[in-house]
Amino acid sequence: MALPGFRKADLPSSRNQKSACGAGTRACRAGTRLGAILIRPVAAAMILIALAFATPAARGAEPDPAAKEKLLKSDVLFRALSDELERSRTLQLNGDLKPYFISYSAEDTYVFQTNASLGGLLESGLVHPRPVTVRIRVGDYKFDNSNAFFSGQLRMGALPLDDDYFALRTGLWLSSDQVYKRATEELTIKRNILRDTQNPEHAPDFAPQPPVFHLDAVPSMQDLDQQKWTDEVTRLSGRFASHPDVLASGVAARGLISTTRYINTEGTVTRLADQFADLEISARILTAEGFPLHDTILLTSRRLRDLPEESEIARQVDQIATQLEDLRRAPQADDYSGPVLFEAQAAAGMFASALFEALSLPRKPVAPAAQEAREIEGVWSSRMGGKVLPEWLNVYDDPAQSEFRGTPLSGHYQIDDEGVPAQKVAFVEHGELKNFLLSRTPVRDFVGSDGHARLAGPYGSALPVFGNLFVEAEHTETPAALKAKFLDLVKANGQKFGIVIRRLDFPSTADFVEIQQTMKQLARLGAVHSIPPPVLAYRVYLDGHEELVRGLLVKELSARDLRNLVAAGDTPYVLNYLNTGAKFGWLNGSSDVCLSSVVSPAVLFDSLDLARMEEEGSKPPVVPAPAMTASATTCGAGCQPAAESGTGHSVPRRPAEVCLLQAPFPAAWTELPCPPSRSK
Amino acid sequence: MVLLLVSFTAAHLGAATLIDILKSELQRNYAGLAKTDPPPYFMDYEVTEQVNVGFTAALGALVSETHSHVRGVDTTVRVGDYHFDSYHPYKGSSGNFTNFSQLSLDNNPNQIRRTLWLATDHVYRASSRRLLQLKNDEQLLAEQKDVAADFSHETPETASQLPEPFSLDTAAWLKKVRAWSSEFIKYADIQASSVSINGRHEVRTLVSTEGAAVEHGTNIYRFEVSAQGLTPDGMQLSTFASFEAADAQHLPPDSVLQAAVKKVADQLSALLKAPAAEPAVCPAILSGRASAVFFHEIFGHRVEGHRQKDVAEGQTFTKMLGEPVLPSFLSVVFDPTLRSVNGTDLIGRYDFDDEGVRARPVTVVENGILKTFLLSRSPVGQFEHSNGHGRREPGHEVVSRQSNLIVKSSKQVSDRELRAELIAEVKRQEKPYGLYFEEVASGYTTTRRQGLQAFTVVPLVVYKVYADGRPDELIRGVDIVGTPLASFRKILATSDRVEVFNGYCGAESGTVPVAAVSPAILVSEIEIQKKQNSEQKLPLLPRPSPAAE
Repeated sequence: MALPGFRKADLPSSRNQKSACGAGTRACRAGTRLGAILIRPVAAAMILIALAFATPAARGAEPDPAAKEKLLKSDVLFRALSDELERSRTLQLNGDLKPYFISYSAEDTYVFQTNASLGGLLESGLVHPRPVTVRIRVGDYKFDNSNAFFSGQLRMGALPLDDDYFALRTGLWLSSDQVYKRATEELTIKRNILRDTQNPEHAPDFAPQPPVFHLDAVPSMQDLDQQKWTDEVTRLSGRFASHPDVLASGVAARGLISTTRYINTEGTVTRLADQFADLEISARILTAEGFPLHDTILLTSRRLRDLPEESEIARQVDQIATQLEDLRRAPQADDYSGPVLFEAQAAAGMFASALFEALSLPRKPVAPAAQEAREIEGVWSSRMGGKVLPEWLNVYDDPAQSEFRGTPLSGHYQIDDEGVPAQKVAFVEHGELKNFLLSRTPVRDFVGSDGHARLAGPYGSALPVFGNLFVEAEHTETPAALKAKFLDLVKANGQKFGIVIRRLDFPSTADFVEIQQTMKQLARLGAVHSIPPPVLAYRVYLDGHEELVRGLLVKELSARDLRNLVAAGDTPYVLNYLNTGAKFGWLNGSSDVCLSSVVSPAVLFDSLDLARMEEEGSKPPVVPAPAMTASATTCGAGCQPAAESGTGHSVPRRPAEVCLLQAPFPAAWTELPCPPSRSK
Repeated sequence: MVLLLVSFTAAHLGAATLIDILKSELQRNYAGLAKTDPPPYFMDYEVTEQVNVGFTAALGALVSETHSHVRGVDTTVRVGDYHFDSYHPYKGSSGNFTNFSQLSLDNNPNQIRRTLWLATDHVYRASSRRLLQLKNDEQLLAEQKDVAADFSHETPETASQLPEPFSLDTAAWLKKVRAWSSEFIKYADIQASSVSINGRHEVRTLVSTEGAAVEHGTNIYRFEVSAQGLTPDGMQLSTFASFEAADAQHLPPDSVLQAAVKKVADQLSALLKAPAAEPAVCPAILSGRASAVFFHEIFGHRVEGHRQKDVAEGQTFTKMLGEPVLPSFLSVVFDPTLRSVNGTDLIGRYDFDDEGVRARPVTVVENGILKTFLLSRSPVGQFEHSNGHGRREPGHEVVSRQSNLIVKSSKQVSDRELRAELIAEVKRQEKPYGLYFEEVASGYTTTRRQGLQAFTVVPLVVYKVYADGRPDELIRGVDIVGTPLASFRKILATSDRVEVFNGYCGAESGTVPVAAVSPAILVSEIEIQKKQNSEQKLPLLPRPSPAAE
C-alpha cells in the first residue's frame, strides 16, 4: 500500500533532501537530516491487522447477496466503489480491449504524528489521507497489459475526505478512465514488443481467484490523547540534553488507524481495519575523526497507548545515548574471517534480509531487446526441491499467528492486497526448499497466489513479502552452550577472538548517501549478496570477555551461506519491522510499506568473511558545542531524571509487547500544489 | 473532523527569548569562527515561523485540509570582506549554502542552540571552501570591469513589528467552501474543480553580527476557485479566480465570492465551447490584471539588481540608467509598504526584507526613464546600498526580488475610450479584429543570455473585438508571445482604472508573494500563438449522474 505524502507546512526542506529525492516524487522519504528532524510520512494502511472485533466471514465463496446489500446500504464509500466498478466494466476503446479485471482499493487513514528534539517540540498534528488505487487489466488472464516493461505505472488517485457519494464516484470515474486508457496503451506496446522479442515467461499473466467477502469493523481514533503524546515525546527527547556528546537526536511518535476497502470484478469485497503505532528514538554522534555513527530504536505496537511506560522508554533513550558514546570510544574493527555468532535482533535481521532475497521469485517482464533485465536471480530460484539449509532447520510463514509466546507479531494479517486470504506457507522443510513467496502474478510453473501480496510490485504486479516468518531449529543450544561451541570453533581456528553480532542496521536506517557508500564498499569488496552493516558487534575472547568494535561489514552473505550454519540457540527473538521490500529493508527505499515479523533463534556460522568499513569522515565542528541548559531536562511524572537512570532504581517495565528494531530518522518533505496564479 | 490547532500565541509571547537565544548563539559562533582561516566577517540567522491552515472542497465535498505549524532557520556566513566574499557571483552562480533547519516551536534553548551551531558549521565550511575556490579562479580570469562590491554596508535595524494574530473562522469557512464548490455539480463538462480557503501567518526573526535584530511578519488569507476541462480536440483549459487579504475580514463579502465561483464555472464552460485561436498579430487591450502580469514578467524581472551583475544574464537594462525604457507617460514604483489599493490588500507587502533592511517605495522608472534597480545588499554599479528588496523563500539564498509593482500612467482614458481607440487602431491597421485579454493565469520569462530573451503570458479569458461592430467573441487556447524591448514601444495608452493581481513569483530565491497593480493598456500590436494541445481524449463514459444515488 502506498505511503501518502505528509502534508507538511509548505516551508521547504533543505536542498540536500530535494536532490536526494529527485523531482516529482510524490511521497518522498528523504535522507536523514539531523538537527532538523521532520515528521516522517506515514503509511496509509500499513498492514492488514484484523481487529479482535472483526466480523467473521465466509471465505472462498460468493458473498451472501443480503450481506452485500446491507453493506452497500450502510457504507457510502463502498456504495460508490461498487457502483462505479460496475459502470467501469463497460469501458471500451477499441474492439476487444474491454477490461477483464478491475479492482479499487480505497484507504481511509488518520495519522497522528509528533516529533521533538532536546526537549523542544518541532511538530505535532493529525493528517487524513484517502488514497485510492485503481487497477484495470485488459486482455485476459493468459495475456494482458501487465508484466511488460512499461506496465502499471499509473494507478494512484485521491478520493474526497467526505463520504459524499457523487464526489466519490466522480473521482473514481476520472481515475478509472485514465487507468483504463493507459492499460490499453500498455497492451498495445506489449504486443508490439513481442513482434521482435520472445516472451521470457510461458506462464499466464494473472491467476484467477475465488471471491472473498470479509468485513472488519471501522476503527476510530477517539481514544488518542494527542496532547499527552506530544508532551511525552517532548519530555523524552529532552533526556538527550544529558548527553552533550550526542551531536543530534530526536524522538517521534506516530499513531495510525486505517480502513481499506477493496472491491474487484471477480466479486471480492473486503473491508480491513489496520492499526499501528510507533515511537522512534534516533541519535547521531561523531567519532574523534569526524565519522558519523548513528542509531535508531523503533518501538512498535498496535496503539500508542500499548507502548511501554514513559519510564521504560526513557531507559531506552538513555541506552541509545550511552551505547553511541561507547561505540565512539570503541576501536575500529579489522578484516576478519572465522566463526560469527548472530544473536537476537541481528539473527532475525540477517534471516529477514537473506531469506527475502532467496524466497522472492521476480517475474521477468516483456521488454524491448535493448532493455537490460534489472531482476537479479535469487540464489534459490532454481533450487526447488533441493537441500538449501541444514536439515535441522525449517522456515515457514504463518500470518495467522497474532503472537508468539506472549509477544505480539505485527506481521499478522488475514487477507492480502489482492484480496487473497493469507496462507501458511512452508518454504523450507528439513532443509529442503518447498515454496516461494507468491502473488497472483504467476512465475514460471508457480501459478496461484499464496496470499502474500502486500506491497506494490513492478510492472503492474504486487510484491509478495513475509507476514510472520518463522525460522525454526530442531536442535537448539542454551545460550551458554552456544557460546561455548562458538569459542571452541574460534580456538580450533587458532584465533584469539571471534565476532558476535547483536544488532544489524535492519531495516536499514541509512540515508541516501550512507547507503550508497555501503553499496559501493561492498561492490569494491566483490560482494554480490550481502546483509546490512552490523551496528553492535563484539570481539569475544577465548576467556569469554567482550570488546565492542565499530565499523564492520559482512562481505558476502546470501541464503546460500546458510548451509554453513552449525548451531542455533534455544531462545527465539521476535523482530517486528516496517517492511519496504527494498534491499537491506532500506526504509528510505520505498514509499510503500507493510508490517512483517521474523521469529528466529541465534545462529552460529563456522566461517564468514567480515571487512573493516572505510570511515570517510568530515571534520568535527570548528566551534565547540553550545552548553546544554540544565532546566531543559524536565521529566514528567513516573519518569526518572536522566542522571539517575541505570543507578538501580526500579523501573516499571511492561511485558515484552514491544520489540526493538531500527528505523530511520523521520524525514520528509512534501510539495504543496502550486497556486494557479504562480508566475515567474 | 476537528483537527488540533497548535497554539502559536505561546511562541509569540516567548519571541523575545528567541531573539536572545539567536543573538547569544550568533555571537558565540562568530567569536569561535574568528580564530579560523578564513574567518567570517558577517553572519546572520533568519528564523521563519509559519502557521498554515486551509481547506479545499470539490463538488460539495472536502478533498483536502492543511494544518501546520513549523519554524526553521536560514543561516548566512559570509567569508572574505564586503568587497569580495564567498557569495561573489561567478560564472552565473552565487553561493548557495543555507540549509533550512527546523527549530523548536516552544523556544527550547538546547534544541535551538544546537541546531544553529550545526547549521553554522555546515554553512561556514561550504562558504569558506567557495571563497578559496573563487580566489583561485579569479586569478585565472581576465579582470572583470566595473566590479561592484559583494555586500553593502547598511545601518542595522532593530524593530519588533509582529503581525496580527492568526484568525480564521474555520468552521464557517469549511461550510462555505463545501457549499459553494457544489456549484460545479451543475457543469457536467467541467472535469475538475475546487474551491479553497487558506490562511498563513508568518513571523520572521533576523539577527546579524552587525547588530540587526528585527521581528516582523505578515498574514495572507487566500480564497481561490479553479476549474479544469478538456475540449473534444484535446485542449486542456482552465479558469480561476482568487482573492487575497491581510485579514480574513478584508476578503470580499460572501455574495462576491460565491459569484466568482459561478463565473469561473460559466467562463470555463463557455471556453470549452469557444473556437480555438489562430496565430495572429493585431492590436489589443490587456485588462488591468493582464497588464499587471505583463509588467511583472517583461519589466519587473529585468530590473532585479542581481541580474545586472551576472554575466550570464541578458542585462536588458544594465546600461540604460537615465535613458528611456518605457513610454514617457509611464512610471513604475515598487512599494512593499503599500497595504492596499482600492480596497484590495497587496500581498507583496512587508516591513523588512530578508536581509533586515527596512522596506521602502522605490521609483524604478519615472516618466519612462530608468532610475534604479531593485536592490538587495548586493551593490550594483553606482548603487552601493540596498533598497529593501532582498527576499527569499525559506531554504534559499536571498536575491533581489519584486514586491508590489505599481504602474502609474499620465495618459489615461476611460475604459470606454480605450475600447474606442482599440477599434480605431484595428481599422487603421486594416485588421478584422483586435483582442481583449480579460484574465491571465501566469507567465514566465527568460532573462538569461542563453536562449531567447522572451516572455510568455498565459491568458485564460480572451475575446476577439471586431472592428465591424459584431459582438465580442470568446476564443480559447491563446498564448501571448513576445520580446521585451519591442513590447514596451507598442503601448499606446492606458485606462484610468487600476486592477490588482496578487500572485506567487518563483525564481532563484524561491517563491515569494508579490502583487502587481496596473491600469488596462492598449498596445498597437501583440503576437499570439496557439496553446499546446494535450492530445488527450475526453473520458469514455459520461460523468456519473448527481441524481444516481
